[in-house]
Amino acid sequence: MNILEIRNLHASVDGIEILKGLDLTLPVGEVHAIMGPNGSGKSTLAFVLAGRDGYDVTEGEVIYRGKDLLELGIDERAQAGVFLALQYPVEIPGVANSVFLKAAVNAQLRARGEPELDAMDFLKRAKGFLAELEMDQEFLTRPINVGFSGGEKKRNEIFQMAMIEPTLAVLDETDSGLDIDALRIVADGVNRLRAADRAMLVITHYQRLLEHIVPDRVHVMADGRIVRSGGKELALELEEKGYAALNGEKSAA
Amino acid sequence: MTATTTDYATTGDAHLQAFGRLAPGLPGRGIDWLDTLRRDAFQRFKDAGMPHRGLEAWKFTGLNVLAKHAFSPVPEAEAAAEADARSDFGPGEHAAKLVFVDGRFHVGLSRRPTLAKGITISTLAAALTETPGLMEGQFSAANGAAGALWDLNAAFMADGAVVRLDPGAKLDKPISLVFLSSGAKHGAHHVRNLVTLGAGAEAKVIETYGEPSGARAAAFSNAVTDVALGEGATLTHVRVQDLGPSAVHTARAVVKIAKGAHYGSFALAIGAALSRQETDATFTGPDGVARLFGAYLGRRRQHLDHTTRVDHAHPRCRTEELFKGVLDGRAHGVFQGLVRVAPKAIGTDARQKNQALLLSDRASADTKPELEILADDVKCTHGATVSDLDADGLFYLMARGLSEAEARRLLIAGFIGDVIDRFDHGAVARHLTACVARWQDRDEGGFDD
Ligand SMILES: Nc1ncnc2c1ncn2[C@@H]1O[C@H](COP(=O)(O)OP(=O)(O)OP(=O)(O)O)[C@@H](O)[C@H]1O
Ligand SMILES: [Mg+2]
Repeated sequence: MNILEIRNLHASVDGIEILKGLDLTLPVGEVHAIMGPNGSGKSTLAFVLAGRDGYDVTEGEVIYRGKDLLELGIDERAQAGVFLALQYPVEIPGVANSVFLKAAVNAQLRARGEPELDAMDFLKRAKGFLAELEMDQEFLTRPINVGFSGGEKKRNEIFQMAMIEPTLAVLDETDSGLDIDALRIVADGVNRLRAADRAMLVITHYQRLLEHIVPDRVHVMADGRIVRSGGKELALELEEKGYAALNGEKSAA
Repeated sequence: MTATTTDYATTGDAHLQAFGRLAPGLPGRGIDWLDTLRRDAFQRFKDAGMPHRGLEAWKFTGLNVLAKHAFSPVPEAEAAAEADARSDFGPGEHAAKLVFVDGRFHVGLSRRPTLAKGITISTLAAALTETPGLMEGQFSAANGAAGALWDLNAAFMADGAVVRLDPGAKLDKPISLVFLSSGAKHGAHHVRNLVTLGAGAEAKVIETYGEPSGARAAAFSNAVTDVALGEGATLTHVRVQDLGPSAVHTARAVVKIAKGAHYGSFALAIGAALSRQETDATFTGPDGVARLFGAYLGRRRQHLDHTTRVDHAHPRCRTEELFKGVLDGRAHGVFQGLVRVAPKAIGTDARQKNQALLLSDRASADTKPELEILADDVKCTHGATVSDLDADGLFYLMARGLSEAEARRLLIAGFIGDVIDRFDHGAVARHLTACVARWQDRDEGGFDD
């Protein structure tokens, strides 16, 4: 079974085509990495999967667990188990992390017909994950991402992911801006979520992350397409030679 | 025995006609200084008439509705004795609760336990009868045509709350003052509250202007609260305007802040067809603090105005103003803030900010900051922003599974929650948050035109 099948995906932003015929298959239980130069369209792919407004799919299809993902709204995708850890998490003043997260967790439980968490259960779960991610409990009462350092924002994304337990997690450069210890903590958090019935797409620029989160496959993206795929050793090769040396493939303009 | 509202073309006419008839029955009749005060105020109102858009201070807020219908002062006999005592007006927890219906004290709905020594909670009518000597010089008076409603209040004020704390007296729980408009159509009431804190005293006063559910009173409430803070006193003063969809509400807090005193104000507007909440603060000594905060949430054709004036007449006083608005439908929000800094008010620190969130293309917001700075060595800033609901925030929340409605609700609550959060962290904040949630829950149908 495949969690995700992307076929000939074309997508535009403001009328400019960014994804130009992208193919990708992500089998259940696997973790795939996507690497590629700046501007090659990695975040665009992530936003298309999450359903963000302004990202227009002009051709191709995205099948998530056997169903058309593109038909669903943003919230419906999330409720169906799709999670995107943003490259640049959004700051929302005035809304406490805990209020937001409880609403999010319960919206998903509701959508799946499961009973909602009460305040006590929620708090217990939240505190457990915060401890694992070595985050202070005061994160719960602080407004979402406001005044968080770059690294704290990324940890907060992983904290949310842990609480939400998605089926498909897309991590967009969750490693950027993390110090070495934070990288290990975040990677541990991600690894804990690896499971036979889930899958992950890890977008990164650095082989370093892939030493902690060992991928089943590595894809290279350039100019809106997957131009090469291989095993985890492909990441090492890229690190050594750079994107420019990819055999015969041109980098993004 | 009383004239019906249809006899007059306008609210102004109705009041001009009613004064001679009602004045003899107003509290404090026969007290020389008060009779003079009322008569002078009435004369000024007669000369100036209702405020109009031609006046700079009223440029964004027209009172046409007061000319379209004749809102008439409600005589005591008519003041509804009975009102559906919706208990959720005002904070659940309070030290005392005074309820006024159509501008008159309502014993049955009020709760006045014995409070600690040095704390007096009474009514204007009672205080004028029992301790008139203490009342002299306590009433603020208007100057100029822009203050015509203030004069109207002085001429017709019939009742209100009198809160007095002796020096050093402290009250932790808020004093809840609730002003209900009953079903009397096109009634006008003019309450006058006096809040006086002696040196070092501390109190919280929460005024709530509301209307029993389903009353749909097209009433005009024109309130004035005179606040005098002694040296080092601290007052938290909250005004919640939660009136029904046909109400017209004008209110003014006139505040004197003595040396080192601290005045914290939150004016929240979530109801009425038209409302204007004014704050007029003057530092009467150095080192005082005025924190003027507020929020307005409107939909349909609601017009919600917050106007502030702060006089920095002494050195080293600090003013911090933050108002936030959420406007949907064709709602119109207005914020005007005037800060005057006199030549001797060195070291003044005044900051002013208004932020409006427009949820619809047809909603609008006007901001008018005015800084008159005649002193050197001062810090004065102002800023205003108008924005849509943050698309990135909306996406972020929905990408975590919240429906669009839930996400919007949370963003709006957060936008206003931010200003509440900066104002208070205790029971007052919880009460304000609950009021905002009530606005969000409310059936929008009632606020039709
Ligand atoms: N809103 C937009 N309007 C116009 N162009 C856009 C917009 N968003 C993205 N693009 C363009 O699309 C291309 C792909 O951007 P994207 O963010 O997907 O790249 P990326 O692979 O994630 O890069 P990075 O490694 O720097 O994060 C870039 O050239 C970018 O400038
Ligand atoms: Mg990117």
